[in-house]
Amino acid sequence: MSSFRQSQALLHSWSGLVVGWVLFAIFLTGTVSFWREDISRWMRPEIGAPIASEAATLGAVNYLQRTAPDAKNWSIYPNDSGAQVYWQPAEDSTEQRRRDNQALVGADGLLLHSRDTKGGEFFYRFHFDLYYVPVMWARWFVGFCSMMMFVAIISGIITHKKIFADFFTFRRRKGLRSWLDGHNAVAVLALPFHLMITYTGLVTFMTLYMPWAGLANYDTQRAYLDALSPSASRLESSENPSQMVDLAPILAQSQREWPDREIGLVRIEHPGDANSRIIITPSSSGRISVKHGSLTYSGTTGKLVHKQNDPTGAVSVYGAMIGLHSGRYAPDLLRWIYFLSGLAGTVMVGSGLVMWIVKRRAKLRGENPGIGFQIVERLNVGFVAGLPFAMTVFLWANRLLPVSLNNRAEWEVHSMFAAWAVALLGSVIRPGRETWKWLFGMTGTLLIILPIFDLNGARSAVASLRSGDTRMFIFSLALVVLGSLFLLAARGVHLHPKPAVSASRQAQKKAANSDVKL
Amino acid sequence: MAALSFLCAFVGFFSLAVAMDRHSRTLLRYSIIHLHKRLQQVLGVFSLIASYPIIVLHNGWAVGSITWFGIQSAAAGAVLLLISARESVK
Repeated sequence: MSSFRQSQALLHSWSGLVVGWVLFAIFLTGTVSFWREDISRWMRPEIGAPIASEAATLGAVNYLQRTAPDAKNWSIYPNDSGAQVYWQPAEDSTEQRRRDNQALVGADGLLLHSRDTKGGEFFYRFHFDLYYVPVMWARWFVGFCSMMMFVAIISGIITHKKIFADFFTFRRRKGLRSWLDGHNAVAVLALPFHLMITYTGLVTFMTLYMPWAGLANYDTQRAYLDALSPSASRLESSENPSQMVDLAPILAQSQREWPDREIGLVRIEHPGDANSRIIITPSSSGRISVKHGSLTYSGTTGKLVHKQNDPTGAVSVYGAMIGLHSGRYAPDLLRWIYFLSGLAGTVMVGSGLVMWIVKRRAKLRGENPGIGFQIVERLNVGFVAGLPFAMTVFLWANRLLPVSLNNRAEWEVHSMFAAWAVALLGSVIRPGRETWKWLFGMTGTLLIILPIFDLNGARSAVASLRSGDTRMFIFSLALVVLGSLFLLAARGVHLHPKPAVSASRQAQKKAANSDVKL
Repeated sequence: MAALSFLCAFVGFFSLAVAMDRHSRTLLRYSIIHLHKRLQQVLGVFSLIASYPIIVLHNGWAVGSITWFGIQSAAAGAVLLLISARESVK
């Protein structure tokens, strides 16, 4: 039994280490994505109070009728700020018109003028699509890392000798002991979350990673997707123009059909055509599964053509797993639990990475560490301390970059990666306590002064409180709390009893000294 | 209701920790009731079980169950921090 446990320990440390840095980045950006709508709203300070989804939808239709009357279809996603609209331009459109196929529209049917930013969506996309790399490669890579995470969690459970005896144990200031206790505590206490989030994360892309069941049972991809998300049969365009029905009564009717649900997506196929159709899908709020039924109306008469109830069986299980992962159904309290559990997961991965170094440093006793040790030591600083620093710079870039800058949203992202590169460079040149302290300290300071810098703007904590915008007030507060935690971490590193230079530098010094002696 | 469920879970984990030899000395001073170890464990488990219907009756079985897991993590974490803080003061 003990040799089995040892083999699992080996599996645990290597499956965790090899992809640990990627997992850290996935966990951290995924965790903040539980608040992505709020991050997006904070990053678009020009946009005012939230509006009702009906008003936003009607405004969007008004905009689309003026801007893209000849499009093949319109998709309208009402959200807190307005409505995000996409359309598929007509075949004969110019190149420019093909590219301009999305907009953020207000209830008045006019474009919402806000700074160009990816908002919280950036963190969300990054946690499975990464950036600067082809999306499909990224998804395969992230899937591989998630599988390793799953292996690490299960081998970790087997390796952990005293789950129950050590359940409440966290011995402070005991070096490696404390790291191990802390790693175990965040892992064991939030274990149901870690297992759930890793497994459902893999399930989210199951049709990409394991397409064979679908390929074996359906002739075409279309047939497969239709089975997965059934809807009314498709209609081709009739090429006969026809007046589109007023949408307001249809929205009201859909509300009567599903009284406790909000509009998630309004899709209009062949707008302005005799065969046009309006398909309304409810939003995920209050329902765990992300697979919903839909209501299909005729675009010319406004009659209900088809009612698709929520899917049952396999599709609803699949939808529930995706929903469980993304937490969009979750009311605020549960969202906070998700967020804290996600932070626990991030700390689990981070502490595991640091522990690898602490364990080996204890054995080194000043001897020259191998190249592996040096690489891990540097990457640890660059990722565990560097990424939060870079993410903070991303928020600052949102406030500091000029609003008129070309490709502004891209530059915000570039700023983040540039900051991350600087942090990595710093950790390569000078790994160890000084860089940890410096990065944690900078992150903490930048987070705390951000709401102070914002006091003049529309997202100022004072203005938010006055206008009753509690969410944005809490956002500012959260920045200060997070910043304080980072400053505490910096202080922790500063007060750490170990000598000021890292083991590798110590060894280098020692080697240099012995050279001199020779 | 979530607060009540959390309180119940906290009492549960607290009782279970008091019943452990390693933590009893740290926690016993704060325990309102002093019971035999076995009874303390029963009280703990009972309290943890009781925290479930409280949240489920309020949030429905689906969302309630998920929230319950989170509440367990948070309550156990609170007990752990309490013990760790008391031990480091000693």
